Amino acid sequence: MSFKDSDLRAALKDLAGDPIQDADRVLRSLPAPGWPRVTWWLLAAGLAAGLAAGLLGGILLSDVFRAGSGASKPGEPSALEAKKRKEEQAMKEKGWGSEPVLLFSLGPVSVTEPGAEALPLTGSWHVAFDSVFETNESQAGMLLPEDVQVRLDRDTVLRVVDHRSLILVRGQVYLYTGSQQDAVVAVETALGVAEARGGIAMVSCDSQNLEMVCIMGRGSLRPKGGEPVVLEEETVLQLVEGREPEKPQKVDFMCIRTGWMSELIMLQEDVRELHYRIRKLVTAYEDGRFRQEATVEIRKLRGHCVPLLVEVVMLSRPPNDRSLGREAAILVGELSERESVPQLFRLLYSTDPEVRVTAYRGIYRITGKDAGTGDKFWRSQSSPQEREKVTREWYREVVR
Amino acid sequence: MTEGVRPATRGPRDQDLVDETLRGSREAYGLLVVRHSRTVRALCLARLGTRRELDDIVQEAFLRAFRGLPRLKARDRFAAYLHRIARNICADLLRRRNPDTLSTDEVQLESPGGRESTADLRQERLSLLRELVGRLPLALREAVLMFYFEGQSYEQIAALLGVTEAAVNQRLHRARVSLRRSFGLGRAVGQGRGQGQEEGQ
Repeated sequence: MSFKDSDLRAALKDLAGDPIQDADRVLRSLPAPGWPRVTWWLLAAGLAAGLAAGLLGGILLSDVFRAGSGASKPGEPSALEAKKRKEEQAMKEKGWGSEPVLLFSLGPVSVTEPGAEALPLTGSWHVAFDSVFETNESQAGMLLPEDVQVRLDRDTVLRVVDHRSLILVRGQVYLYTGSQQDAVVAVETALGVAEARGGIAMVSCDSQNLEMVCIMGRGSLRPKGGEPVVLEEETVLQLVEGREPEKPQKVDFMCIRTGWMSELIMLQEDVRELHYRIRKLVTAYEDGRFRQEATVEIRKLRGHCVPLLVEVVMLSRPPNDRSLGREAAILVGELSERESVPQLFRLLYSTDPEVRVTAYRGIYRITGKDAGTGDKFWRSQSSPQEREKVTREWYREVVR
Repeated sequence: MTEGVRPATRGPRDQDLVDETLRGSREAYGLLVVRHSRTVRALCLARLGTRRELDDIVQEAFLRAFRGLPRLKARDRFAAYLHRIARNICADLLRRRNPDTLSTDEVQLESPGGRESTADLRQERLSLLRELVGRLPLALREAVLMFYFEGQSYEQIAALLGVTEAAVNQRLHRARVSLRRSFGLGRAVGQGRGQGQEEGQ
């Protein structure tokens, strides 16, 4: 009683996994590359430095107290300086350091610290409270104490008084009020004050308009000299100079309004927001009600949306969903980059010939290899078995 | 110039893909995963058998490898580095499973779908063969999985396991002899057991 080598191969074949699926899973779980990883280290280093400075300050102060006479002497700091030092000391004790704003900018952002000249800063920087940030052509993100986060759109001028109080001169900002429950971040503008409470909001303004979008939690908008209007989740309120405020309106598809942050979201180390956004966009795309708008936003996220779009294609069933599947396949082909090639290979198994052709062209475009086939092969001139064979060989050629 | 453990005959070299990954390219790392996931799977299979979390273990190995990439000095040795990580994950898992021993004497190489119906004679033979591979000593099991499951050459297996090609040849020979011997015995016992069960019903 014996067996052949081929039996042994066949016996073990069932145990094989799918490298394409493995790659999908791994890529989906990878942290986004880029500078945020570095900046978290910088944040940690900054906090450590702040703690060390606080410790050193404490030691020095204790020395002063040990030698203290209690009376003022000539050359001692003025009341104002003493107050400033006290504030700095308080910030140090809280572990914030004297520069508690951690700025990440995608391009040069003009930063003016109190009593200093404006400096164009790119990348990650620690900045003092009460500084003014002017983004011009760039976008930026900020981490403030107590997990407060702020994002600045292009052409925005913002003064960060402290982590709960901002002054928006013009432009658009995104606010997350931080880890404390019901915490408030107030944004003062020329037309009124917007307050975000326990959640996420966006505020934008120019000389004649002020708009607040409440994404999560609650918000309120108080016109100058008027009563505050409360905003619930997923509502928007606009104030126009010289007019009475209207009622907040429901936002039907929030992803359009938050689209300006796509680049910042993709660069974050924490991918949860990105994944949430992708799910929302692809669901909207599939649903069809906001397909055009969703397509615009999906394009901004480039290859990140490909895996879910491939699911849309593969799950669409002719004849009803055929146009959806084909449209999605074209979008996949357009968005695919080198890392999406395994996803495109999945589309070669589609029952829709046009989807297969789109996938074939996509892989050819990205890899420069065509498996010796053409459109006709994938559209009509082949059996499933022949396609399976070619797909496997092509796959090996491309990825090995 | 030193080539990696498993030099790519086509496509970019591991070293280049590692460099691209470190420059921020996720696609490059995707290609590394596609290229090496079968080997990692074979390594883990040899140690753990087919388990439901095998996908997760493979994923974990690649994730850890990714996180440690900036510290990888010999970038042409990505495969060896990855395999070391996979082995460590398996060792941790075995230790958690049985803290007293780190036994890899025997594993259950069941297919993901579980045991096939014994009504199909060929499937029964294959199922038995899988079971017997799982009972081979780890060193032989590894060689068998690398050769028959992963389709690697003697040279590649030798480089991967850190032994000579002659040793690989010997391990495969010993594995085949052992399997043939057990296969005859297993078939006889299996048939007897099958008859008994039928009688019992």
